[in-house]
Amino acid sequence: MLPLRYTFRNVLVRRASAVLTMLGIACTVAVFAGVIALRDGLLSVYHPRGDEDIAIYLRPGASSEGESWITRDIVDVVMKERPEIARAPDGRLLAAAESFLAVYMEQVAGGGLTNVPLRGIQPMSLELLGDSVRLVDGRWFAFGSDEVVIGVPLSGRMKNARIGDTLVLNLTPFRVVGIYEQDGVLGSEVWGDVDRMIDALDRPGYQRIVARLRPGTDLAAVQASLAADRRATVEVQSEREYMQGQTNVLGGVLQFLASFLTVIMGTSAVLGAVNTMLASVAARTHEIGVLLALGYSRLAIFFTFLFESALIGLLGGLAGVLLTLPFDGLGTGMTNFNTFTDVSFAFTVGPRLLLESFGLAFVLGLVGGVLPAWRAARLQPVQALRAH
Amino acid sequence: MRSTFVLVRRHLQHHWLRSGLTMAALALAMFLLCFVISIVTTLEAAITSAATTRLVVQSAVSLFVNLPISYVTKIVQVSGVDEVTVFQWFGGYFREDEQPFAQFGVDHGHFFSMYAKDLRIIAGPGGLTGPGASEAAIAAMAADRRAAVIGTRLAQEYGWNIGDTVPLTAKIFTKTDRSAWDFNVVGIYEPLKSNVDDRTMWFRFDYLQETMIAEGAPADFGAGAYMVNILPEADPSTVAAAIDRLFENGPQRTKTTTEAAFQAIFVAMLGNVPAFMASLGGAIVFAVMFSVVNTMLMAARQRRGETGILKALGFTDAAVMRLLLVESFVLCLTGGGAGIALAKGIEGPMRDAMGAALPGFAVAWSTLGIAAGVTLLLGLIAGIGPAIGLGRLHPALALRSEG
Repeated sequence: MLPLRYTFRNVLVRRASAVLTMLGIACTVAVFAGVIALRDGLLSVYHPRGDEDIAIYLRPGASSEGESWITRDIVDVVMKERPEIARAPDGRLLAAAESFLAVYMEQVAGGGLTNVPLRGIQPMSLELLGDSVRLVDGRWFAFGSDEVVIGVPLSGRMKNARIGDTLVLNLTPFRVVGIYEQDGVLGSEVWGDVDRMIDALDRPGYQRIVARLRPGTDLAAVQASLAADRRATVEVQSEREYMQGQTNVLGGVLQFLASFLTVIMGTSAVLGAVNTMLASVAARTHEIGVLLALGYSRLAIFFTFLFESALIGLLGGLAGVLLTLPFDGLGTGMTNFNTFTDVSFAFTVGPRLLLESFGLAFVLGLVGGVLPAWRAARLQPVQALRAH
Repeated sequence: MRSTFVLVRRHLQHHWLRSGLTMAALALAMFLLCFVISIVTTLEAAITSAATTRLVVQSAVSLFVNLPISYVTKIVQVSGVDEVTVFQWFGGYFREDEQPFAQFGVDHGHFFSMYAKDLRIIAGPGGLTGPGASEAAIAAMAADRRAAVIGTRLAQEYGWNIGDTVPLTAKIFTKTDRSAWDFNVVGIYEPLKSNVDDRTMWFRFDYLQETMIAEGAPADFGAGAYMVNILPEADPSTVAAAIDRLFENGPQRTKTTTEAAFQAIFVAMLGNVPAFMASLGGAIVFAVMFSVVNTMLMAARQRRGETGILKALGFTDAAVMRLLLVESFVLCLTGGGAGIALAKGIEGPMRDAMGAALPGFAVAWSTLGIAAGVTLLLGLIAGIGPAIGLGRLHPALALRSEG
């Protein structure tokens, strides 16, 4: 095996060519990492609140809150009669009925309208969220009043969404009195009193019931008993399952985009790497002849050039990752097609994505090196020595 | 000049592998560039091709709040209004795991005349095709409460034909017994504009309304939106303002916009797509630029000895520079041109592959122009530096590097 120093010095000697190839690979890696960081950011806000016992009740057949409709009567039946719902030590039922509607708000960037989730909540909704929700500025809205609080990212991204602003819901003005923060997707919403929302919007029904179940509840059994219950016409699922079902469309689109771009740009980058390595082999034909004459095996020559190419790939990957890292944590928002509402999230460049990016760069370099390395290894010593 | 091209061709052929690889890289990059630009232009086309004589009346609060059905009678009385239809999103599916398609409940008595410039019914009952198909389908629509007209692609995708009954499962309008909704296909339409999807089903709103009222929905079961065709001489903003004024005190406030502005809302919802695609496009162009510059640098390096000979033979510096620049342009235009041609060539299959994700995907001629411009620019960028280097090279020095 040839010393690694030989490879490093070769890259250094032909640095202009190597750097151009690295930059090509870097662009490819940056595009891959950028799009996946967007997808990961989206997925990361759709995590359950860390509590395995939270369940979501929707109207049968509805796959998201926007499609759901639960009448007051059904809410009463579920709240009063369902045995699976847990109780607080003081006897209060750990369940809340919430309303949900995507309302128009104007975006600061670009000024276009988008659909923002407006949630009517009950005091128990906040209790069920526990520590995952915090007030950042102002105060909480008072239940029974025409007031709302707005999530931090939304407050920055939407017009008319700061403390003191007024949100007109059909005919009723609601005052923004506070800014809150929540770690998950519930963090980019507008919250107010559910009864006031139902009243103001003239929509006499709820969209979901969220409840903490008794520990060890078998959801499948609960679902079976609900299906048999003619009065409680709702379907139940765990919050985890619900969250997972909310991102398949946008998550899939981004995943497809990343794969499509990576395959095509990656092929293009590999072709560039092949050119660079071919030139590297051509310039060192004489040298290869010397090495072969000295007794280095063809396998050693092959791996030396392959390693050189992979090294260029890895360095390109490093540059690509450095290009992407500044985006980590950058806030953005998109419409989630499952719920048809805007969701705020941040580009997320996690350790796994970094590793995948390096892996991609390494593979691009490696693939680009195969043909040139094979050519180098096949050279006849005598002819190679004659070159130059 | 002819000798220039002969020399350029020889050079490119001599290093056929390098030339070929670079051209292929360029072709892929330009294909991808056309693709990302086309995503933006397709979205924009949906806005620009929308009718200017059509208004959309919807709730001022939310896309998902219905308007009372009684609004129709008030809207038709507004001066400048020609015709009105309800427009109700159904949101059903045939098989859950397949690409969704849109279904809208409309007022069949008005919808097809209002949309005569947007879509054309090309097949009607009894195997009718051609001019008579439209009237026959509209008559069948009037006769059958469950009648529906579907898009050409929908018909092709699912193999649905005139006379077929299509059962759809509702996600929003679920019946108590959770049974499917049956729709009878009486016509197949083709879009006449790029903002009209060929995978939509139009059905009778009163079928939905009556069924839901029978299911216990309130008697004033509302409609998602109203589409309003205005008279050619009417001013859209005046009519829109007049409609909104009618309902400013409720029960539901309205927001009336042109169809173009309505489509623009959907595009704005996607987030900042143009900026996102622009950064992708930039990365694609840069990546391939590095590749081409690299190739031309290699070419120039190998050309030093030969340049010395040319200069010794009396070729001017300009001629030597031109030789390399022309080579760069030929390389870029051949590769980039192939990519651009590919982008336009597989436009149809790409549109099929994108399906509902981006209906009406099209590669505009202006997009090909942009890509061609970028290709030319790449040829210049890649060729100019090495060309100047060779031009400045002293013949004696150049000759010495032969070998």
